[in-house]
Amino acid sequence: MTHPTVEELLQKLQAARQGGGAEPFRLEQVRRYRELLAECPTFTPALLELGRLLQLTDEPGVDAEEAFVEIQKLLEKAVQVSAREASTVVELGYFLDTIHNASEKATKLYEEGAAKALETLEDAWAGLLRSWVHERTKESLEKALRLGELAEKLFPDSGRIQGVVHDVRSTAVHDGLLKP
Amino acid sequence: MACARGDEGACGADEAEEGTRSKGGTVSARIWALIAKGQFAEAQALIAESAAAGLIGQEQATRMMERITLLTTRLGDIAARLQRVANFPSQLKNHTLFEIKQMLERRDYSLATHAQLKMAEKLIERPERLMEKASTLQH
Repeated sequence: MTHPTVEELLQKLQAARQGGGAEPFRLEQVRRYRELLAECPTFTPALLELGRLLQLTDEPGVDAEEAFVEIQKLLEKAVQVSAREASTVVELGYFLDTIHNASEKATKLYEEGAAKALETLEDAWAGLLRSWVHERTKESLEKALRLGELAEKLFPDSGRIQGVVHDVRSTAVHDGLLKP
Repeated sequence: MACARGDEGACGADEAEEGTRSKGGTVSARIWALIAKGQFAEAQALIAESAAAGLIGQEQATRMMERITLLTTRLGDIAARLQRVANFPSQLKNHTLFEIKQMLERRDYSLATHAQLKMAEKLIERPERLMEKASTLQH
């Protein structure tokens, strides 16, 4: 069987996301997600979203314990195939915390998710600050000065953030927006 | 902030001296304080009144109403699937999230153990997060 194209996968994911709300519509959604995963069992968004949906949906004839085992497998797979991406790790944390009352395991996963998300935030803010310095308008530099303050507080040990915030300030001083 | 107490009488004088913007802030702090104390009917009335007068935005009013809905949700109202977890504390079915939070805060274990109260709190908060995640995907 040939692997579906990216466009086909996204189209099917979009179709699976429609509906929801009342139980019969959610059951229909579950069916669409399952079809999509049968075609592409390692598609992270579908694994994650079906894992969430099944926690809210009472499938007729499916025992609760059986359903929770399936949900855990879906979420663990999402963690694995996404190389432990923050949103998957946090989702598994919530599941273990709420359904299995496993607070200790959940805490570790929340910490891991938070650390991963912070890395992304650091990366995004450094890029954003750099773009605003390059744009070099009064508005962009003022925005950069405000974000720079916050970024410095949150990432006091980040060389990238400290470096770009330094550039923001020296450009702002040069352009008369900040006193030397 | 003087009005964070949600005390009607104490807030009047401060409000008269402040501008519209800070007055909006004061009203919203008062509403959140009413919500935190479980005075939901008063909070709802003040939300409607303040939104109509333009003291708080529609989005903020919606967030406040959603918080009230969550706090007044009973454990027995959550998705059937979630009520089938192992050791589900069914004796708390008729209790709202607000009541459960109060029991936790007061260390009142007369109706349920500490572990059962924590589980009930997490279970009621869970669907809101899942629904929120699902609805952002549809937009």
